[in-house]
Amino acid sequence: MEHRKRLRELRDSDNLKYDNEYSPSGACRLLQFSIDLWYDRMVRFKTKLSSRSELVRKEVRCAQSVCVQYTARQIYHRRKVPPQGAQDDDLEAFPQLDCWFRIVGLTESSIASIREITGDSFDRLFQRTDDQIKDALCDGDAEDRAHLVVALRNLRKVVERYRTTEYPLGKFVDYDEDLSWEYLGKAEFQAAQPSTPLRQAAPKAQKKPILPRLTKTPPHQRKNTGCAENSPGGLVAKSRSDLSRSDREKNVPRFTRRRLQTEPTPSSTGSLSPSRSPSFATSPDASVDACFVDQPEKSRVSSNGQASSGSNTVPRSPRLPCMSHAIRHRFESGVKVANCQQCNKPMFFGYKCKECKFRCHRDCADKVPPSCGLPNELLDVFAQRFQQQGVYGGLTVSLGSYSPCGMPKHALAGNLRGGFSHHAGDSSSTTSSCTSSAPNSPHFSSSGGLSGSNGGKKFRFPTQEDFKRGSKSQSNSGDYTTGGSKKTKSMTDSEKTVVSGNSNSGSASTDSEKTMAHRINSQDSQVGFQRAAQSVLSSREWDIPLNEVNLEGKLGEGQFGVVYRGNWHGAVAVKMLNMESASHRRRSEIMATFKQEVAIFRKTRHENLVLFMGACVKPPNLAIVTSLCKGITLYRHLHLRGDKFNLSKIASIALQVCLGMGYLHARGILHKDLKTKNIFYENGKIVITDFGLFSVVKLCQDGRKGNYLTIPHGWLCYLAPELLKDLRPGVEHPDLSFSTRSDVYAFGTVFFELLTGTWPFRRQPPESVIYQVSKGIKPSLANFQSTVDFKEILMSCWAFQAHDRPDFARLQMHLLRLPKRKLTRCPSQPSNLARSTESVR
Amino acid sequence: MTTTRSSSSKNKLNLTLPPIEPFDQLLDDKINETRHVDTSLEALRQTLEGLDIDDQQRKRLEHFISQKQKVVDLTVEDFENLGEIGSGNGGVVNKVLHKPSGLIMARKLIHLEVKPSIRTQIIQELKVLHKCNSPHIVGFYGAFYSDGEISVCMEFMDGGSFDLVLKKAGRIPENILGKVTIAILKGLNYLREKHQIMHRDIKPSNVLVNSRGEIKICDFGVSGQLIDSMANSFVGTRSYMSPERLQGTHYTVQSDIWSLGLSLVEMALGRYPIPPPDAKELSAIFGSQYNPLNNPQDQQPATMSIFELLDYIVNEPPPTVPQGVFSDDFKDFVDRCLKREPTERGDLKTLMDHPWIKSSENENVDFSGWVCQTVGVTEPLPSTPAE
Repeated sequence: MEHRKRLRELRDSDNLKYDNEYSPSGACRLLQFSIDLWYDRMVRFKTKLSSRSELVRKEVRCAQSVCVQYTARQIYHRRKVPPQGAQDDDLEAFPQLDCWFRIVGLTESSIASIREITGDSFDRLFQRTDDQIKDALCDGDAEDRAHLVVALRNLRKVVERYRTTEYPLGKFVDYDEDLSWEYLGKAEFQAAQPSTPLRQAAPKAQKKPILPRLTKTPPHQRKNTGCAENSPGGLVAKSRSDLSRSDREKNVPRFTRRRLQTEPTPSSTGSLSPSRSPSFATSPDASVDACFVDQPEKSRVSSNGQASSGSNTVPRSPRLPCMSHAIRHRFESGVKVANCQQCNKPMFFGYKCKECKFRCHRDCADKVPPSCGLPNELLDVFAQRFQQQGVYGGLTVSLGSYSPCGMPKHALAGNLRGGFSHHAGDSSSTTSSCTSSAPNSPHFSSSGGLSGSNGGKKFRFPTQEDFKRGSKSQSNSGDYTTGGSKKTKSMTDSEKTVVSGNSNSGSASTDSEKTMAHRINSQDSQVGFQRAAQSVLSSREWDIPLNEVNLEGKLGEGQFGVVYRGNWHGAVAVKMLNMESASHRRRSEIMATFKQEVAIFRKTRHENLVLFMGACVKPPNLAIVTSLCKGITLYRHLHLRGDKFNLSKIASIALQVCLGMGYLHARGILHKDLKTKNIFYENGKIVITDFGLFSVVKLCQDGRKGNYLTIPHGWLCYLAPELLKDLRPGVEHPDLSFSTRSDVYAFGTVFFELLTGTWPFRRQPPESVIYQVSKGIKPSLANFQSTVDFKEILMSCWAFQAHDRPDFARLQMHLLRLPKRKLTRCPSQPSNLARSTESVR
Repeated sequence: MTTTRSSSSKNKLNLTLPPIEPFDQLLDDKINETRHVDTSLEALRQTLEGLDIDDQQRKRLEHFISQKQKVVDLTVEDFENLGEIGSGNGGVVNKVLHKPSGLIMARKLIHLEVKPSIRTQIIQELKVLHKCNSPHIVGFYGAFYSDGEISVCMEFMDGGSFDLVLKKAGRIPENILGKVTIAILKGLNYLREKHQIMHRDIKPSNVLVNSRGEIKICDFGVSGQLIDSMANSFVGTRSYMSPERLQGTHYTVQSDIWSLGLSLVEMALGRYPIPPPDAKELSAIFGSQYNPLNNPQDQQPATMSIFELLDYIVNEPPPTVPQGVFSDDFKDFVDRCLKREPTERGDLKTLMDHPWIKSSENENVDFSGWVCQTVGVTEPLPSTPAE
């Protein structure tokens, strides 16, 4: 036991160094201590515990591997000293031959036989070939023979490695490497390659270099495996992002525990904790697996081909080691079913209004009140008539919602402002239920009792028959009205709700709004018309009194203000913008802009965009209520957690972003602030937030000093060259010329982040970034790990001239066309069944 | 299983190995830990040995260091705010009184919301400043973190920074500029030789003066992590960045030389020199001294966007001072500093030997008097502190 005491002494005295810091003989002696310890351990396992237990076998094998490595180190140190010259006699004693024999576990007779050819010199044993050794032991125990051969082979391998590649500094050995020679099952007798991982990993996985893992510290190890996952042709391993955080955190203590195993304690492995034993796998999944080994409840599918050892190690699927607990499948529905907008039941045949694309069953058409949404030209017509005849000039107007989608706000506003200049605030939908914002379905108001009392004075449409047919009815979607009351289908009821909604919406409606509401109240119920002006919206559709929202906790702070988690008929996120810092004269401007923006939001409905639920306008606080995004932002994933996505995942994420953005652009909305901090990612699904708020935010913030432009971190790299060129300090709120193509540029940067995990121009000062990007200089793609297609997409998004950049529709096409990664198949399946979609470049 | 062997002694001369040194003491993890630097006067005298300074400067440095000894710990409560001195990139600077020691300091507050590990790293990196002792570098008392803000405590310079001086003075006479340039060059030299760091941010607002006539530079990029962690960057109407840095290419201490040249031109002209002033303007500035015929200048638009400014720096001829108003040596010096190609620029050594510098060194200028007069210092600091 004295060596253990000695080791402990050394350790406690703080004099302990790594073996390469000692003189060669000192190093050898130190290593010998360790070898002795491990040998003791192995012997104890072999003799005192039943070797039938898988755990015990594992421990023994581990001990053998470690001894081999330590012995190899001794040889390394030994060889550092030149053969001639002042030789330390002590050095010649290492490695110790007897010790080696005992480690291998040879019987006395075998030792004697071997000694015949080697004498006392370890070197001589080392230089013997396998055959010579086999001959020497020919009439001995076959097992011993095999053991010795295998052990020597392993030893030679390690020594060779130390000689040619870097010597692993530090006293820690690689526990994952299997250099043992016992309990290998078939391998034992075949003297097979001892370094084969006992699991059937994909062949390519073995290419992963073992050596780096010896030298790098655990965080590096993690990174390494991450990279290996990304290598094309590697296993379809789960990306890091799929690991739950807790697992990754467990990863760290795991490795530290392993380090302590240089002084093994006997009872440490008493419990059936497989984590203690090395995994013996060199597949990149090893460490990934390893972190789940601790959690039996998450243990995998049945084990794969661990045939040779015949052991029942913790079952792991080599392909998808950590799948079952973290990823949930997300099935997108591919079937397109239209819903009748009258009765809301699915329909396959039916009517569709030419003007506003309202869909309904044939039968329902009758029930639909005349409330067609007008395309632009008709809107003009309406506007004129409206102006001429006035609102209440007996004209019953049933006017559906305004524009078909895609019409830019300003165009419409331009159209209508002329006509409706002062009728700000309106009752866009007099029926609560009609605020459907399904894409392509315009809003409509039903003029409640209109259908009944409509009598003669119908709006004279150019094509009246269409109008009869295609008028809309209420839809029952949307919870945008105040109070969130359930929508009813009956007109009168809904009118009543609207009326009450009018009085509820007490928040800052402008005067004209109130007048309008008042007018409507006093108005005959026949008259319900819809504000076609998109720029000013009826607040009651989206207005939420702040007191109804339960603010629960702060989620974070952004450029604009604070974001809270809250509850308003479900989990919501509330973003509060504070106008206090803005001067008073700006406030009305801010309010107007805010309302405009909100009006736009309610049009948006897409699975990749955050659901806008309402807003609250109560100066000085402006609040926007959206559904709560679960998951975390891509920014967190990429920059803070360092998750790496593989190429197919990147393509899928990019595609979803394109879909969302394409939808926004089709709706005439510019995001203006697309960045990874605004993209949430959860279980493979992307949700984009914060679109369109940019202008409002900028208005709220006054420049602190006229001479400076405050540039928040990670903003510049998203700005397209034409925007950067316009940046100037001293101008309080520069009206940057955003466009759809500038959004595409921002998307390019997001793409870059997905591929590299960092921002472009990361460490460069802002002036430098402004200069380079405005000149058209792009960051180097030297360390890019991707195929040519990705680079092409990136470069096209970053094209200097705005018109050279593709729009999102084209991008979607490109991304869909990217060749998918080859699925890794079980080796038994023939790989020559090449399929065009699975070609890998 | 240890083997015992009789060792035949080959150590005929009985040489012994030196005893094994223990590991270096691990760095402390505590953020606000006081420094471990050995601050005994003797040790410091040794470091001051290597500096090329005269006796008066040495005395002042030693005095500073001995004052520093009084500062054992830096915590938030020990400070009393005496007023705001200025604000710059990312932070506000206040004049404060450190109550336990009675020292007046300048405290720069930088608002940072970062993880504790990054914070620790920043404080560690800032600790290097303790070792920066030179008459041309602003003294450093310590840095600590509290409540979302990093505080850097520095020597208080009652003359303030040169950009404020410039505002008050209008423009700065050549002989004063000479002294300033010498100080900056020596400061840069010190940083480069003793600490192998560049300044990275030379500009008038980073050059401080005091009523004793000392000129010191501050705010150099010692902590890379701090630069990385700043949430906001500030870009202004002026940039002192060299062309090679703007282009993202490799840059060295030559980049600082450019910044120095540009600052000198600004201080000489009284205004930021890009876009360069036209003939009319120069006449207005210099009056009769300036002869428009000697200096054909271009017309430039008054307001430039940031990119236009940077583009001008990289692609257009560098600014210069008009001939005739200033000495030819000065113009030559400035022109050498402001070459767009970093290799063409003078380097520290050659500039130190430039005729303009030599003549400025020999000139007798009542610098402290000028400072007091210009800035309006009512109570100048004692010239040489009592031992």
